[in-house]
Amino acid sequence: MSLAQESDENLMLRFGRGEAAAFEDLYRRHESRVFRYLYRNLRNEAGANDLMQEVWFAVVRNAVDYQPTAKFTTWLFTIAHNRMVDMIRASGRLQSLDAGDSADSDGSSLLDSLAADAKLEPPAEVQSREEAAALLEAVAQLPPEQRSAFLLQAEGELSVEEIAVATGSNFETVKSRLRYARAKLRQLLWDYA
Amino acid sequence: MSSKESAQDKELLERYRRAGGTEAAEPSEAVRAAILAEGRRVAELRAQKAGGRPFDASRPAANDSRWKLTALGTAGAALLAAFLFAPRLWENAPPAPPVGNAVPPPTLESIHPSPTSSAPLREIVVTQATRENSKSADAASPKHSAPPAPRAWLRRMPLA
Repeated sequence: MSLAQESDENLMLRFGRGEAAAFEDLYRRHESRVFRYLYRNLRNEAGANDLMQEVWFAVVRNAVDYQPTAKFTTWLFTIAHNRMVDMIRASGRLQSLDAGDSADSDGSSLLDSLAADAKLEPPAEVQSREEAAALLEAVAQLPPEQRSAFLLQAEGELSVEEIAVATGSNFETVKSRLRYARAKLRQLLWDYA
Repeated sequence: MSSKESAQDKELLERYRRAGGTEAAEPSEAVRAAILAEGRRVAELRAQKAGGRPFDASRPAANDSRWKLTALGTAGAALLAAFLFAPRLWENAPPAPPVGNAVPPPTLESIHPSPTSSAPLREIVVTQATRENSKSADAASPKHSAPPAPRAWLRRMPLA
């Protein structure tokens, strides 16, 4: 079996035994998704680059102890999320990414009104470059916890349970964050259309 | 979550991913090179720890005691060969020299064979008859000077 057909977990085990090619394959598989997760959360290219290096160095250091008890991507995005929270806290730029879910109280009335609106479904026309930019800008405007949960789902392809593990939150909180995030994005797309 | 909401969520994710594809968001070349170099460095260290070569699952483990079986088999084969050849060596060995009274003295039976033992008696009779014959032959023909040599064991035998 070639490396391209190997699962992420097997590549990690191979790398842990000293196969450099396994790590390169693994890195190239997930490079873009991890970087986009960091970049869209931080909205800072230099910071995303620093964090990217830190995350993957942590993967390299911990590979020898890696046990495939969970999906590799859950493990990888947990590292990415924790490093990002540490960096944000250290910079003092943001008070909270996981301390309390202020968006739950802020967004509930908005969500209720959005859910009641039958016209929420975004138009299905061809997506233009401007629309793509607007969507990315809408993601950037989400509250940090909602944005992080949405990006873990969209970039990391993690389930609600896996996002709860990665962020250290409970299942219902994550589910709620995702609902608010999606509702806001739909509204923003509708407004754009 | 209703199926309508689920379909809307899927569509939203698809839109987001398409939007992400329009934007060139990737790490700098320097960061990529540093990460890959670190990966290679650590992999090389681990390979060195594992014996200087990449991991090869087909090789026997370092603590495998298969050599003991090989050594035991070789010793067994050598022992079997020795066991098979030893009797031949004993058969070809020269007789041991007499030591002290190891050789029993000749018995009376062997010197004066009993009448029950007919073969030696017959031989003696024949021998005596031969001697008498040779005496009479000597007397009859004085030319025949050399009597037949007695057998070696008869020369040693003290005939009374």
